[in-house]
Amino acid sequence: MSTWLAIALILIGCSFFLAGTVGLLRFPDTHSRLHALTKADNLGLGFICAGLAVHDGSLTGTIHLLFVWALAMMAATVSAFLIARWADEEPEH
Amino acid sequence: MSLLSLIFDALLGLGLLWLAWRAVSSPGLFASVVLFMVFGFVMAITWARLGAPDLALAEAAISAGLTGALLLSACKAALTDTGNDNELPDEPSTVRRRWPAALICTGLGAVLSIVMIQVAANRAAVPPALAEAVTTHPLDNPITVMLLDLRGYDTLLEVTVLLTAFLGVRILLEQTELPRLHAPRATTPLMVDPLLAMATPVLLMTALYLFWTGMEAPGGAFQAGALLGALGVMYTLTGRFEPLDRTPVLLRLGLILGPGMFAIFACLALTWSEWPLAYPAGATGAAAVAIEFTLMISIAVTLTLLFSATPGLHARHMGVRHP
Amino acid sequence: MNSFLMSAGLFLLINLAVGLLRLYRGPGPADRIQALLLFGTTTVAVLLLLAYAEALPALVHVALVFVMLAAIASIAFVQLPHRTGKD
Repeated sequence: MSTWLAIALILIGCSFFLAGTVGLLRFPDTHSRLHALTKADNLGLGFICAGLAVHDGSLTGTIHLLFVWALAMMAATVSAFLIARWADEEPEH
Repeated sequence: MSLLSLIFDALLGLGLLWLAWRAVSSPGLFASVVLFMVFGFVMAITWARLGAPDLALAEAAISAGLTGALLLSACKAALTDTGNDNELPDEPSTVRRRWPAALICTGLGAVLSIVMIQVAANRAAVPPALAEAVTTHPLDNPITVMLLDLRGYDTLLEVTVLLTAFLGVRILLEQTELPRLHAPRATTPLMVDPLLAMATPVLLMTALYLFWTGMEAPGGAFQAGALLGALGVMYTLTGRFEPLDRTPVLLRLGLILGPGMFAIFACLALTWSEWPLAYPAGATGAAAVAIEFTLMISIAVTLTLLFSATPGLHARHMGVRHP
Repeated sequence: MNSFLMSAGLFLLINLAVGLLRLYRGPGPADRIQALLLFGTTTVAVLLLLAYAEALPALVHVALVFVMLAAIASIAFVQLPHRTGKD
């Protein structure tokens, strides 16, 4: 049972990564690409962490994975903000 | 599983080669830098696949924390300095040297591959004395056993190389007018402050954890030192460390602490053994922890100073913020 | 389970390879650094999957180091002047 749950969660995570990549490739301008990328990716990472935590089952493993996800979200938030503002300041061409 | 692994490894290998080639041949300076950073990511996955988490850790700390920031800063200095749009002038001499360089590298790569294939074929032939020394050693992590005890002499020379590299940079700084690589922006962007406030304790804790766990699991002085160095890079990039024109005494001590303690230990060992660098019986663990700790401090200080390309740094007084 | 984790890792690796196209096309530096963000997250996910597929728990620490240092590239990037090449 828990194996199937883990597989399902990881599959969902992979599909979010796919969505992020498609968004990065297909969206027309910098800001919409940033919007697609940072959200979808971190959701994907979250689902993969959740799936692996179910697979692992131990408390320490789960805390490690949760920590990875939380830090990834922090970094992505700041990065997305910094890049968006940098792109905003860019003179028109 | 084996076919799957084969496809995975083939993709990794081809990806590495392609990224390396593009990083060198790509026309834009910035694109090259980003390609090189992606190369670091793929390299870390490759080390993971090869079953070398120690190297993957070092690669992660150095490529994500140090090289990327260093190359981006160099990119900035090049763009600001030349006033050119994005190209460094392609000197004809570099083009002429390219083919001989490619030939030499290919030859060297071929020789290394042949040697490595033979080593891999004889893998079972690890000398029994070595295998026994590693398994009966008081420290549990075979990499740490190698680095600190069995091949301690190599490690001592390695940290000396790092110190020499810093001295070389100091000499260059004295003799040439290098552009300030990292003069930070006048204002720190929003959200960087909270990020640093959170990242500092987390990075310190993780570095100490990696140092401590290095005795029995992947980790150790080099990985922990590189992580602390990355923290120093963060502080330098955001202007929390300010460049100084001379090295303060405390930083000098930090620079020589690791190699110095290691060298003193090597001499002291002659009093209880006939070999330098031999560990005293029964106190191997304690001695190794002490040496690793000093090495970690020295590696962190050296890397931060190397990145900042200044003789010294001091923490800016953070009481008054200028918006 | 291990071969499933491995194939998920392979899928993400292919995903990364496709994402390289954005790095290639640009057009601006902000677009290229975004591709780098994507690769950073993907690398972390692949490392976590490998950690369990190969039973190497230390790889979780490698992923941890990557996410902790992920912001450095962006902080260094926003210091670049704006006329960084549109190539």
